[in-house]
Amino acid sequence: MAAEPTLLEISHVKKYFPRKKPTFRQSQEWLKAVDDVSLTIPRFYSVGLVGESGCGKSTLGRTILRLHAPTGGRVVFEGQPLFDMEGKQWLPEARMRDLRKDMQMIFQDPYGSLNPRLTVGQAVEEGVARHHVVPAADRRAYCEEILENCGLEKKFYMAYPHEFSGGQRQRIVIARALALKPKFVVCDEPTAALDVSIQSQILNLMMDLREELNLTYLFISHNLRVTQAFCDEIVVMYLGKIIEQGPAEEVCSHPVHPYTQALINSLPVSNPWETKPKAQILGSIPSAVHIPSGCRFHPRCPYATPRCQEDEPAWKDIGGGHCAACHLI
Amino acid sequence: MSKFWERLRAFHGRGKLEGEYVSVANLSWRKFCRNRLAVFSLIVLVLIAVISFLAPLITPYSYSEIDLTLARQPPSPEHILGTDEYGRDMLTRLIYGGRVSMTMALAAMLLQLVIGVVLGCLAGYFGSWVDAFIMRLTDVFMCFPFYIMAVCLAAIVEPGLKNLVLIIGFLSWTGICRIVRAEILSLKENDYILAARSLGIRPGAIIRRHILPNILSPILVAATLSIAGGIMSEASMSFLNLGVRTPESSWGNMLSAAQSMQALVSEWWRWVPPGLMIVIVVLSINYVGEGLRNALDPRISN
Repeated sequence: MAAEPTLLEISHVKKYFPRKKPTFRQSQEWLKAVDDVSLTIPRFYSVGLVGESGCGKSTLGRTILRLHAPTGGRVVFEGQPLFDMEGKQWLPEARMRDLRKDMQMIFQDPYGSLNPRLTVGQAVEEGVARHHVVPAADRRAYCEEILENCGLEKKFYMAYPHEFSGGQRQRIVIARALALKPKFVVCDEPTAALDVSIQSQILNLMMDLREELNLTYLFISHNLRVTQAFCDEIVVMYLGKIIEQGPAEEVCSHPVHPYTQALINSLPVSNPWETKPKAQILGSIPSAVHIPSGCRFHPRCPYATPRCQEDEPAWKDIGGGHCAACHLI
Repeated sequence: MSKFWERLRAFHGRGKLEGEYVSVANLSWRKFCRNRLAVFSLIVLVLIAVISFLAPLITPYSYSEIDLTLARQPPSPEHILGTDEYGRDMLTRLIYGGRVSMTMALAAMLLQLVIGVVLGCLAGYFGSWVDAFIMRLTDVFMCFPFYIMAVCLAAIVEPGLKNLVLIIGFLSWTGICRIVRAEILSLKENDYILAARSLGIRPGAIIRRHILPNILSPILVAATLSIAGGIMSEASMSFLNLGVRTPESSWGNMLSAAQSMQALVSEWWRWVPPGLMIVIVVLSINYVGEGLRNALDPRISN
């Protein structure tokens, strides 16, 4: 698998949101949602991006698709730079729109991401027509087939989004993205809004489609267990930065960063008699406006040393593609 | 035969049949047809339009010929609505006036709508300097008192129907523009706009397919109100002799011609009919607008 060529290369991507400037103060404050993230996604891989709410996962996903204007960094898709802020390269908007056929996004909120005025058929056909995925005469049949693959019967073709349940809507959202036959799909917590029984259906569906269409996924989730089952590789983010990365099984069985350890310890276990150490993270995620000095996890880390407050830990490889950023390794 | 009845019932009350394939436009039309008030109003409007259009065939009198011997006659079999102060048949003038007033109000509304919606969309969707520029422009337009501007413009260009439409249209698009912009600003934050962008849809198509249909109701409301406003502006401008000039008739200048105390007190036939027509037309347009709004919104079912 490691021999597969790179599909997407993300280097030093930053996304800062300006904060409202207080009157009489000169300096502009920034909310550093994504702060220098580098990641390489090989073809046909599923990379899971985990982290707690507000750590910049969704922002990263949207920034690499250029749905947010990036602040810095470079993203290269199949050898084609989408943007390179330092090199002042910027793929023209029209070219970018054409390229979107290959890079799709499955949105988190199935209620907000469907236009209430378009029928299911119209919603799915729109992108197919835009990118001429199939000849116009076959479009309808093709979209019906995609919807059927996603578990929606033909008779729903003319129905409006408000007639569906959350799970069904999520299927429409998936069908809409996959109808373009993309190569790369960002899944932004596709199951977060659904109940557990529907979650597994949707995940199985996405796994089947992955085999069928040779997809590459960037799977954003706050659910480590789902990610473990779904992905080849796991990337853990904390406060806008990647802190640990490695093969899914490896990261879950031998987490090295204290944050990842705590995340895994906090997973509920299926056996009620099984005891395990309590998660040891204190407090909640600090504001991304005032990022702690040194290691950004130190205020909440149970093992923090004075050094952690001063030096930012370097990226260390601990073998087998498993890397982490912590002074204690 | 039973199939036929089933279809008829579907048309008049029950929505689409199970498994029946209907286009979106067809479905909206059926929904509109089920709104009795809207259908009735539409019929009234069409009727008024047809009668106005066929005016020369309907009335034997001329709308402009003066005969002072017949001045100020109350309704009679010859002159159903009486005559005005120059002895012209009121019904004839009412019908011809309908032509002018309705064409004018519709045309001015369309002009406002086009300018307001286009500029509002540009400002709301693209933001930054485009927004700033267009909003300052609307501020400038809103700063001018309408009647002073309108009177000046009408004095510079020749007063007349066409110029009146242009003046009203160019001076009153600001309201619609601001409504459209404000609606788009809040709508733009929806995930489905982001989803459309991520599908690679062009900005024009996003505005057309995803934004405009979703802000249809405020636009329709503003448009129907602006028709009423248009008829009123036309009346005032005609009153100042800067709009439709006599002997040409319009509901507005008929009303203003009847503004003497004598007419108001003892010659009701000179001001009730044109006033009533304005009320009927404005109300009908409002009801049609509302019916249209409900019919085009898939979330509302009746």
